Amino acid sequence: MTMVNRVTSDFNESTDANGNWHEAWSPVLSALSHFSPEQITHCQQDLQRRYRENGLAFGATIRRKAGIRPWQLDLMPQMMAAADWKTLESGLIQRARLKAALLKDLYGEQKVLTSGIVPAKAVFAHAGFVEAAVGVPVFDSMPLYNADVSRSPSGAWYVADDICQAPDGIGYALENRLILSGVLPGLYRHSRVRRVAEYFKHMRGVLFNRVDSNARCVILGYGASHHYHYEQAYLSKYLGYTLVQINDLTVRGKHVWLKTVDGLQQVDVIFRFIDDADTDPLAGNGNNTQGVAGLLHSVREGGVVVVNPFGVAAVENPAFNAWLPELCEFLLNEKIELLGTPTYWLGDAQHKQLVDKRFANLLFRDINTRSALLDPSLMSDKELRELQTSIEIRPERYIAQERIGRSSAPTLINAQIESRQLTMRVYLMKKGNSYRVMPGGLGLLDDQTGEARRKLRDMESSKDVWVVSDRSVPYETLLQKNTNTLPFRIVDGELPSSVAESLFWLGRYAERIEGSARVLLGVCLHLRSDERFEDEASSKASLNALLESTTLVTGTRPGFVGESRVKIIDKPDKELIRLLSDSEMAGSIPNTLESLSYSAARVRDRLSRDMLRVINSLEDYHTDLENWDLQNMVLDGVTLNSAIEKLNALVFSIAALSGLARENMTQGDGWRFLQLGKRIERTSQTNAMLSNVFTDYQDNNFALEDLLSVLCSDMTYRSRYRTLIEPALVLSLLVADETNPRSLGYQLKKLESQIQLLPGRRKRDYQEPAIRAAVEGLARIRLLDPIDMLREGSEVKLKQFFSAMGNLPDDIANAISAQYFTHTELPNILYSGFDIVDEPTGQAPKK
Amino acid sequence: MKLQIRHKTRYEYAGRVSHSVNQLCVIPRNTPFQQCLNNTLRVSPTPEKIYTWKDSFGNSQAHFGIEESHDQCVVESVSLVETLALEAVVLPAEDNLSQSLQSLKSDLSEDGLLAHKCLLPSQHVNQLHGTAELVKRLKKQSDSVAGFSNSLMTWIFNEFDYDPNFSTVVTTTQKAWDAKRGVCQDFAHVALAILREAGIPARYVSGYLETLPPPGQKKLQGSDASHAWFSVYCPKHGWIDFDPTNNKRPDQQYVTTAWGRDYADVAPLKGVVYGGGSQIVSVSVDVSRVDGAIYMVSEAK
Repeated sequence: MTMVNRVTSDFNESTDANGNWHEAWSPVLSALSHFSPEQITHCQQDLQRRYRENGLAFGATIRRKAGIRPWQLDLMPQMMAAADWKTLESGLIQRARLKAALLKDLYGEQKVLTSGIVPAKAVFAHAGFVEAAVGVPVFDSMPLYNADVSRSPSGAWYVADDICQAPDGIGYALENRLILSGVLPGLYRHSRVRRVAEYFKHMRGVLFNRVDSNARCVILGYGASHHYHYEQAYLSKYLGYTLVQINDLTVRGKHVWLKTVDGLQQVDVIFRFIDDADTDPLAGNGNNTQGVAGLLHSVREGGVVVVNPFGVAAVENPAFNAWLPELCEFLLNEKIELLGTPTYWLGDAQHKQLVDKRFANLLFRDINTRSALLDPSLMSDKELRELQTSIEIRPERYIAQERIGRSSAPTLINAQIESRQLTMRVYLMKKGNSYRVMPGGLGLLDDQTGEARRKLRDMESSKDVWVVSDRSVPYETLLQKNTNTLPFRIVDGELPSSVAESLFWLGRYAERIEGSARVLLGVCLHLRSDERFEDEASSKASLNALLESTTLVTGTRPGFVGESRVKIIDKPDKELIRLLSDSEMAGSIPNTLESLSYSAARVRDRLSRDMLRVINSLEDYHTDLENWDLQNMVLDGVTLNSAIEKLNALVFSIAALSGLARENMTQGDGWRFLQLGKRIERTSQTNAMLSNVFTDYQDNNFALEDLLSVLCSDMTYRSRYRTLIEPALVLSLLVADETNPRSLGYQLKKLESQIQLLPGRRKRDYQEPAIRAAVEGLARIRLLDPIDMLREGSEVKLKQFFSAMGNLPDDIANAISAQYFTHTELPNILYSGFDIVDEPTGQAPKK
Repeated sequence: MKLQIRHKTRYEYAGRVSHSVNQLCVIPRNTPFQQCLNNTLRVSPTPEKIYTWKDSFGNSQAHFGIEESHDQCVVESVSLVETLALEAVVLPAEDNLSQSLQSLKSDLSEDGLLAHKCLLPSQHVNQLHGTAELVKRLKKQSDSVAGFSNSLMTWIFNEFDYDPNFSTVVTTTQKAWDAKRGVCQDFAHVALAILREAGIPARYVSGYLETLPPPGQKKLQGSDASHAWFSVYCPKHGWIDFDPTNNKRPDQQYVTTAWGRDYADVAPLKGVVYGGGSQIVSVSVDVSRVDGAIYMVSEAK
């Protein structure tokens, strides 16, 4: 393997000035240089596969649509020598203590302002400073502190960014470690790498610092559409805390409560991954209507602990870098160990004058944006003028920074070693009066020039950070260690309403996909077969029956049942191809796969690893179908065969999902909502097909055969009746037979028993609408006489039966939704009476 | 002078509200010129508890939640306040505009820190477009902080139309400036923007004003309203109040409730309701002189 070295004066992480490997790096570099390109590629593929299976590199549709690339992990770890790490560690601990002291002062006595060390404007101009939080007695503690660090050309570490609100990326760091140590097990074991699991073990202690260990902790995130959702779901699984969104929480009295299907449950600790600005709409920072109304009140009254405390963004203000040594002397009475980037606050007239002279040599930053550095040398004249104008108008909102190079680290790209610029995110948590550092971190690579860094999610790739110990490292298994430390509380009955709703829809979408795939499969098989050519008229009619069913099952009216059906039904190719491959068409297979992917993303912390694997494979089908090249829009023989193959595989995956849901999931409330969704959907689809065939095609044997086959009951029919197709027997098997898992009777029986077991109704009660509807359906089915129903003159009765059955799924779904999901009610902002008045306001008559 | 203030807000909703969370800022604070002798808050439906605290500006804030389903909510605050006459009507002339700004830099008193906040843009007060010429002209007229502020007050009083129909909750200060109309709140915000642009720390004051009926007529119930004006900081004299709506320096007839960077810090009532649909708000305020007999708090409904 060759080393491609960029000509650079930056510090090199792996080699010294003469090109010799640093000691800490040599085991890794020598091991990897003995790998053949094939071995490297194999390892990289292994890495990707493991990532996907754990869910973090989730290539989900929704993420691709949002333009977010899957997470990348470099096969080569970032090696840190023990001594080197120690220096960094000590500097970061001091910095964490400094920021904690600063936080306490800013929201308390404000001595750094009254003593004149920091200009008041520099603090107040930062949006992170929450006026409403001043005086709230929670800021004596900052449990977590994180920083992005880089290395200057001299080899000294400096802090590029303080990250105080939430340990963003920590789940990725953990995941990187678990995966890389699995892909390179020998190398990992022999490198004396310090373990990171310890850190997570202590996290519980830090979160529960003020409350007893039986308290309830939730992880508060933005939900499935957010780019850190996968990490939060992962952490939630790893730490065992429920993952919730803003609307899952409500403030009552002085406490915060979680809305669950079992009613409100008190929350004691909120480990939040949402920004200060979105925390409480009543706190008045920003124009935001997002957040848990009254959260700050609850914090003020001691009803809940928020980690990190609300308002902490104030100490992320990069302007503080301009006075860091003085602040350290003042607050800690210590000399500062780790410097930030040399920074000038432009609210200071003298600083600004100096900066104006060297404008192009510096980097700029609006103090209210995280990470985004502006580089004048990369800006157009217009952008440059705009920046200068903004600075003139609000100089206190800007800082300038010196350009400092970052070190470069080797990375493996396509089995070649290349060089990339490195930033490291390091995580700290409180330990007594000091802090502990996670021995590792998240290495971030990019090839940006000009020293302006990108945001975390735009980084090219990540690295696991291996801190080499100077002693031997005891081998410990992560999971055992994790559970043994503190008494473990079984988290039960903690099903947030929004999660229950997503599980319910996951069940519905999975079933809708299965039903759609099966009926489309029926159509394709029909189109391919030429057995029925002798009786062309009824063969044609049976195809029409299938096509109509397709539209009904996929819910894609007008399709084959609309007014222009005559035109379409004779040339069905185009509509069928759209159903198979057009993700923009609501109800098409790829479109429903997308909806399933959304629902699954919201509940991934509740699904088993195997189920996630199946869902990943479903997402692959989505990609496959969407990219299917069907430009001429004709279903020829080759296309038909390929469609049949794809649909079969899809049906198989969905079957795997149902099987895993039955065998792999605890049959608690969450599982029940998933099952209810599935049964409701199957009732609706089966009834639509039965209604269509028995109303218009009951004399057509081909149509009845197809119906049996789409509803997977053809084998049963043949083995049971060993006879030609008899409509009454078909009706009996598909409607009344409660042992046939595809029959209507089976669905209603299951629905009835599952609804009885829902939370809050564990005693039998037939008064509630959901159960009434299920019992009504079951009674209708049990009282059905198939022979009488198909007699001449019974057409109206038959129609009435199917139409009554057709309303049931919606009735049941609405009743369940009204009882269990209405917690998801959206907030309205109340306007103050000051603004809208009938009478003139405070106006004395003008003379 | 003793003034009794009865401030009643009624919300009516189209549908049922299942839960609401509210924050109130209606209890008059104590200042060198007034003392709040007594305050009673009454909310219907009755919340389990009304929590009160002092915010970072020293204002009284209150929090309550209504956890039962309701379709209307009434909030009533009754306060008794003793107001004192202003000591000096003469404006201090020696606070030179530029010197004042210079001395503020080293003014690290509590008032000085507040003044720093009140120099920066805030939620409702951003730099206005089209004010530069006015600032220049006013500076020419007077180079003292008080003089500038006084001229600005008079200018707004003369140039702006009082128009309660113009203002809605979404009225931005820029819109009020462009149309030269609005209510007291808009006038105060416009003034704050211009003062801050001129380098004068200026805060928003919310409160009440006693209005007297035309001679020979009986005062109408609920004809008063909550009011707002601005206050500027002179390092040598502290804060001085101006009311641009009435072109008047607040006197004994004025009651200060609270102050902050702008309306957002001291909104009389803000909240979040779950459900309810559209809402109708009605407000009535009575400010009346008390000669000894103190009115009882009325039923809230």
